[in-house]
Amino acid sequence: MTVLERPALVIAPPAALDVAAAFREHYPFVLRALVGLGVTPIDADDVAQEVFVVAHRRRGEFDPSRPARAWLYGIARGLARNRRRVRRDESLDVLSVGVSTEDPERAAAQSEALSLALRCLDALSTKLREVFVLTEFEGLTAPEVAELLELPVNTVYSRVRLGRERFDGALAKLRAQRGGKGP
Amino acid sequence: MNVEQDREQLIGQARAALEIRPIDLDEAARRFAARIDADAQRGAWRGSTEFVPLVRTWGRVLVLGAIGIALIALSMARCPLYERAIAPPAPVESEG
Repeated sequence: MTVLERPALVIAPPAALDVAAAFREHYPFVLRALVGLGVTPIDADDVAQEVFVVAHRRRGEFDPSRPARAWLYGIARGLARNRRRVRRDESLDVLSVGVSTEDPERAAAQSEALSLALRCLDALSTKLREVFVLTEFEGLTAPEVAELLELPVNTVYSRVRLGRERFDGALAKLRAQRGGKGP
Repeated sequence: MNVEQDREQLIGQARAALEIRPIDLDEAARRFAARIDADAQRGAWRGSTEFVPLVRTWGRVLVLGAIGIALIALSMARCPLYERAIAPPAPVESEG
């Protein structure tokens, strides 16, 4: 057996991403990430669909050595930059994407909390916001975020700390404006 | 409730607002599949970075252009009117 015939040395062609399977697995993450990145909830579904359409078109470029989620997040980030919209008011009807409960009161409370959280996120710069959303909303660890955003881990820790400070400051300010009402 | 608990509670509720029900995920997946099918029916998507189609198109333009120019040049060279047009003026003989 020659060197080239050894199975371990055979270089397989890169596997294209199975986008249909990835859609079911990562769609909720992409949707939340887009909202976290500043896309309005009413636009988020359209943009999330667009993310997977782009992924489908570019599936041959997918690097299987990296997590699919990181690749999809990169696409989402680019599209979010183009589609970011300024939220004009606190209208809750635009937050219908996420009403996940049959209980109207709980749904209203959740929508109100989402609206408030998005307003607090507006106080963060894009860099802080990205890291903050991935850690606080998605529950990713700092090394996971560092891999996803290709940043040093210490930068992630630093941005998380700063992001929390700014978020808490904005939350306190908004609560004070609303007379200390809960979410 | 301290600041950290307050933040965590708010984020927990906000995250819950963005939860996708299985029925919504099915619907989104169905719409995605329909869109991909529609794209496929319109023709295969071609990446803007593909080099071969670009070279093929320009090659076709150059070859067809060269053939066209050669045909025009040949027809002009064989044309008797053209021969007369580029011929030097005939010497005018004096009557005296």
